[in-house]
Amino acid sequence: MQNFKKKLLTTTLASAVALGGFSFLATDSADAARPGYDPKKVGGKVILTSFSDAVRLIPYTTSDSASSRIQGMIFEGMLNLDQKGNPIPQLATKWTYDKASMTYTFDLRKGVKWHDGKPFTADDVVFSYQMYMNPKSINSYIGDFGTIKSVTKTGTHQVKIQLKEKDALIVSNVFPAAIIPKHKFPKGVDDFNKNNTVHRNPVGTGPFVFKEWKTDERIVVKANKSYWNGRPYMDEVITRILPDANVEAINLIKGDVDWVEALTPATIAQVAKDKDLKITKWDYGQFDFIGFNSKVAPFNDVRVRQALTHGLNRQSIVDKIMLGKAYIASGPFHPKIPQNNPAVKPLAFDQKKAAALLDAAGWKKGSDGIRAKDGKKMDFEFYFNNGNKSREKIGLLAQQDWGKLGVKVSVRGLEWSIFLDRYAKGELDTFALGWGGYDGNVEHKGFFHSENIPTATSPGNNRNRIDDPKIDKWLDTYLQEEDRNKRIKIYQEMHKYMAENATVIWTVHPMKNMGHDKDLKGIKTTLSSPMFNLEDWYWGTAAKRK
Amino acid sequence: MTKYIIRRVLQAIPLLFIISIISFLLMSLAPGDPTAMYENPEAGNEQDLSAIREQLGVDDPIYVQYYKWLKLLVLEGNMGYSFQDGQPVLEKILQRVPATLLLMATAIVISIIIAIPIGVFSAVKKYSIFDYFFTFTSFLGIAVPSFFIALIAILVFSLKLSWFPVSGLRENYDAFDLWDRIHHLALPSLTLAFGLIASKSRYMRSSMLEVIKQDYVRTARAKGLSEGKVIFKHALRNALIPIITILALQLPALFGGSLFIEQLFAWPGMGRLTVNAIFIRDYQVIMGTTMIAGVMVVFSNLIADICYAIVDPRIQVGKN
Repeated sequence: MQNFKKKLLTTTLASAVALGGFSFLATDSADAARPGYDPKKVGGKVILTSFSDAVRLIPYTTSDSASSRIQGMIFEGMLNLDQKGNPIPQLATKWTYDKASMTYTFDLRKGVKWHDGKPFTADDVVFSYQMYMNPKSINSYIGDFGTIKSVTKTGTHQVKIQLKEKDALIVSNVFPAAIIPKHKFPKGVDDFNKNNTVHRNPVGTGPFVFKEWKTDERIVVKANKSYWNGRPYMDEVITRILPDANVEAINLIKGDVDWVEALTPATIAQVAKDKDLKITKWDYGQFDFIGFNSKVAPFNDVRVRQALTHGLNRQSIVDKIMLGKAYIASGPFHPKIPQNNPAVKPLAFDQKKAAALLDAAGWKKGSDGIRAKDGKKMDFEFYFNNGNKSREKIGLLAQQDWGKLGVKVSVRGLEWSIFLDRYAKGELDTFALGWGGYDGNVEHKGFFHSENIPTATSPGNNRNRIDDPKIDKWLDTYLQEEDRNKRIKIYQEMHKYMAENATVIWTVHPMKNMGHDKDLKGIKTTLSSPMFNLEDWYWGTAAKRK
Repeated sequence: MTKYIIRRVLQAIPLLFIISIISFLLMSLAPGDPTAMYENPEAGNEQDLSAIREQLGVDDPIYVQYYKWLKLLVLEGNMGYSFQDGQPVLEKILQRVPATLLLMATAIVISIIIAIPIGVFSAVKKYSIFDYFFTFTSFLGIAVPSFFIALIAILVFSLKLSWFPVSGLRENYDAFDLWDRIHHLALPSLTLAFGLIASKSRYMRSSMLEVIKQDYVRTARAKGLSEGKVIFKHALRNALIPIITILALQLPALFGGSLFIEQLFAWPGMGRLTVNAIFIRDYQVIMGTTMIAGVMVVFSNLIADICYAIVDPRIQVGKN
């Protein structure tokens, strides 16, 4: 099962094939088991951990990862994405696209039942989209549904979705949206927004059925034994809420939990010593960077940005801070996605070159060893969000490396909410941050386009205030280009420019390290989810399957 | 007495009103806003937050926000709705109060049972090796932050010795299992009690030292009473009076301590609710927990005053 929320975390692009109007044929039988299903693997329960409690269990009423993870176990969309990010049938068995009328037609799976026994029909699909598109709803991803003109039922198991305008993104971005049961929301959007009983007792069609939610303690789901694609192997999946990384690791070592999504570098060594546990590193679609307000001096000077990149030993971030579990970054594209340009090399660690660039930019060393230009010293602050040890260490490394160049850096931690506030206002000199949750359907307009620079009246995600007409053009043409290969080329070109231009200081693409019981098998991940196929997880030892 | 209690309760109303204004002001002065909860600090993501700000009403001027909050509270007894999940704040708090009360009450009881004998013993055997030992341990207990003690306790007693579970309220969710509950309660309540024992035993010691110097203790000894009777019947009862006040005054500190303890032991109580609400700027919940804490402190002080009058006939409340 794919966590459908993933596609919401980034705006994504559909594959070009879908635009050609192809269709997928899949089994229409309600009780077919998925390929490779092995009844011997059935049984047992697995205990996962979550940093924070869920907020609501109805899709599109939340945006936190704890909630969407549980929602992903219970609910399904018309389409799903496979491990590579390609759309595949889920509650729809087949879909076609009519270019002339800009209309998608979905044939829905027959015989699917909601967990409470009511049949799933086209009414549920129409209702779900009505909720998500309703301007009064609390859906904070409402913008993703903006190109939809109408959603209409054309049969008990057929739905047509007409678009207002061409939208290459919609197949992978919107159609995997989870479908919710109409009969549980008699008051429509009021229930969707405010009904706590519904929010806390979700009824879906997915592989797991909601069992219980003990606030701040745990959330339990159990196997849906009549799941259309074959029951999940685990009888129960328990998510314990453990609000501290150390506590999480201790519970894992003690055997009180079976799986932790991401161990912190500090706890990895402890977990690695335990013979019953295994650490599996997995690729997550994220880039980390050192940012700044690109509109103010000295960061508006490309030579300064290049100098700071050349002057920072990023290999040592990979080796010493991330303990080898990261890729050195040269741009905003994870090395495992096609938009990454393999010909681009990260700017080399070269302090001499860095010094020469700073000299050329007019920043000369004064008698105190600190560079200055027009009477202003190169002396700035480096911020990280409190509690993030890796970013703090990156700050200290920058302080040391840039110090050798004659740049004075003070490293400071800020509480997250304050960090965000000052970031949005462009008040942070330099800071370490990450941006992620994307895969091969990546789209970076929100983060880099000049029209998304936040102002007092309009919010936006380009808080680095990158204002470069060249970048704007690449971002725009990428969205308009219908040929997938050409589109990828556009981002590869942008990647090259962003690396050379040091648009921000690219640091690393971190890997995540999940810690789990050695006997827990079948785990597959995607660039955006560590539990892509939870229904296929199983216990290797028969004793644990009881 | 009744008159006195009524007067004190009425006096508490303006006090709580002032607490609410100050909390609201302080909260709004702090930078950041509730939309921070929609952003992931590890890796940000894209969404439309402007509608959310409007829905939460955080764009209103501060006095409007306060007025709305107060109106709802006074007219409907409603503490508002959480920004995070839309649940009524009062309901959220009440859900978590039992776990917190259980933890705090156990810690208080443990601290009384342990601290009073230590205090008495230290006073009676003043400057003995035991006295020095308890003095040292007490200062350690006061100086070392509770979260550090908690981590050490988890490491030693859960991980190395495996005596207690690492965290949580229970393991058995199907039925009420007393042993399971006690097993889970032991470590967090002992950790929380540690600091209380430290300070309470110091107060007990000095109060006891004061009392045993008194004439009536000498008289008791002169009458030929056994040392045990002198200490426990005559001295201890009088020495306990100031401890009652300490008990009430420790309540806010206890509340503060439980913030950390609940976080570390994954205890589903009010402390965790408060910490989480502060981090995500859930103003409604912060106001709710602050007010509840305020009410608790005001009333525990009142109860202390009343108890004081009951145990010490020299104090006459309501007659001045």
